[in-house]
Amino acid sequence: MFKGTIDENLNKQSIKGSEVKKLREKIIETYPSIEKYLEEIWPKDAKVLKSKIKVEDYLVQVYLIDDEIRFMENRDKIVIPTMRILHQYPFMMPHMQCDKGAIKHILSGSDVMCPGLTSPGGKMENLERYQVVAITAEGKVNAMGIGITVMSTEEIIKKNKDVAIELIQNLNDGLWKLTRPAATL
Amino acid sequence: MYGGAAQEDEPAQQQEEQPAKQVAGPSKMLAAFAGGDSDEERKKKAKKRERQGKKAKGGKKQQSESEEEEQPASTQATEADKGDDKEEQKVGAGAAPVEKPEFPLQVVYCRVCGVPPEYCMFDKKDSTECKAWVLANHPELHDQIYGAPKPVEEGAAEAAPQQQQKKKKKVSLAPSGDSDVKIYKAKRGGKKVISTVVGLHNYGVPLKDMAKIMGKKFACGAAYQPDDEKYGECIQIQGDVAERFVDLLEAELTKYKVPFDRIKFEEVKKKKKAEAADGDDDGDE
Repeated sequence: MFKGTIDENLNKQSIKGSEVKKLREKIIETYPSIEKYLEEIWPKDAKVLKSKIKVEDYLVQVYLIDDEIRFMENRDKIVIPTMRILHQYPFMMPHMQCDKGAIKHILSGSDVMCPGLTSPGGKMENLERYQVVAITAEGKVNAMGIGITVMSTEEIIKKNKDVAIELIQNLNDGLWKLTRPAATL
Repeated sequence: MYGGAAQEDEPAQQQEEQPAKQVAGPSKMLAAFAGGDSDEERKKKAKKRERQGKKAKGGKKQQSESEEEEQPASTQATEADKGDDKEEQKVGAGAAPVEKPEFPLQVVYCRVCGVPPEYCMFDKKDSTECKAWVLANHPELHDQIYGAPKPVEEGAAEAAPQQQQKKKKKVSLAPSGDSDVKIYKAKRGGKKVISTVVGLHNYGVPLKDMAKIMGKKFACGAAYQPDDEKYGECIQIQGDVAERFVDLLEAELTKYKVPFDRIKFEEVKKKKKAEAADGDDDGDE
C-alpha cells in the first residue's frame, strides 16, 4: 500500500480528547490482547497528532503518538498498528504464514495469494473475513507484513485462488522507512 | 548460598503459620460469641504467634545448619527452578504483569537495509554487506539465518571487495579520491561556463593560494570552495579554462609534481539526480 517514499514533512493536526478516547477504545476492541500494554504504546498523557498520507488514490489517516507513527486508519475505518509496533508486540493479532516462495513478492508489495497459504509451507489460523492479520513467512520469526483478510480461512482452502490477504504494510515500504527509529543500533 | 536456603524455608514457615491462623480463627469466633475479645485472649494470641514465629525461625536455623552440607545441591535445584520459571514466562505470551519487561520485544534490524536480518536476502540481489554486518554484530543470528557458520576470513574477504566495487561505481563520475585531478566544465546559463578543478589537494597544493594564482593567470574569477555540495573541496573558475590549463600546469603545478596523465577533462552537461547524490557522498569524504 505504501509504495515509494513518503514525504517526511507531514501536515500534522492536533486531535480532540474525545477522539483519542474513542480511538483507544477501538484499539482495545480490535486487539483485546494488547490492552495490558496499551499504556506503553499509547500513554494517556501522550501528545497525539493526526496526519494524512496519500496512498494510491485515497488518504490514510495516521496517528502520531509522541511524534512517532504508531497507528493508522484506513478508509474502512479499521485501526491498524504499524509494523514497528507489531514487531514489538507480536501477539496482538493472529498470524498467517506464507511459504518461502511468497516472501519476495510480498516484500515488494504484493497481496497474499491463496496458494501461498495453502501450500505445505503455509499455516493458517481459523479466521473470518476482514480481520487484521500479521503475515509471517516459513522459517521466519518476525512478521513481514500486515494485511486484512479478504476471505475466511475456509474460503481460502476451498477456492485456493486469487487474493486472500490484502496487504496493508510490508517490510521496507514507504511507511516502514518513515517510521525508522532515530537510533538504529 | 543462604538466599537459596531461605527461599526453601519460606514455604515451611508459611505452612506452620497457616494452622496458627486456623486456630486463631475459631477462637476469635468464640470470643466474638462470648462478647468481644478480652485482653487476656488477645495476649494469648499474641504469645501464640510469637511462639510460632520463634519456632519457625528456629526451624530455619536448624534447617539451614543441617543443609549446609547439602547446600550446593539445593542451590542448584533452586536455580533450576528459577530457570524453569523464566522459561514458563517466555512461553506464556501476554498475561501476568510480571512478564511486562518481556514486551516490547527488541527486534534486531539490519543496519544496512533496515529490515530484520532474516529478510535481508530477499530485499535485494546481494546481501553480502548485510551478512557481514550480522556476523559482526549478531553472530548468533547469522548462524540461524545463513546456516552453518562460515569461516570469518572468508566472509570478510567477500564483503571487502564488494564494498570497494560499490565505491568505485559510486565515484565513477566524481574524483576517485586518490590521485586524479579532474576538471569539470559545466554550462551556466547560455554561453557562460564554469570550470571546477577537483583533486589538487591530493598533491599538497594549497588550494586557497592556487585559486588566486589561477584567477590572475586566467584573468577571471576563481574561488576556493571548501565544501562544494557536488565535488567537495575544489576550485571554481569562471570561464572555460580547459585549454589553458595545460599552460598553468607547466608554470605552476610542476612544483607539486602533478603528473600530466592524471589530469582529466570532463564535461558536465546536465545535472542528473544520481550525480548529485554521488557528489554528496564525496563531500562526506
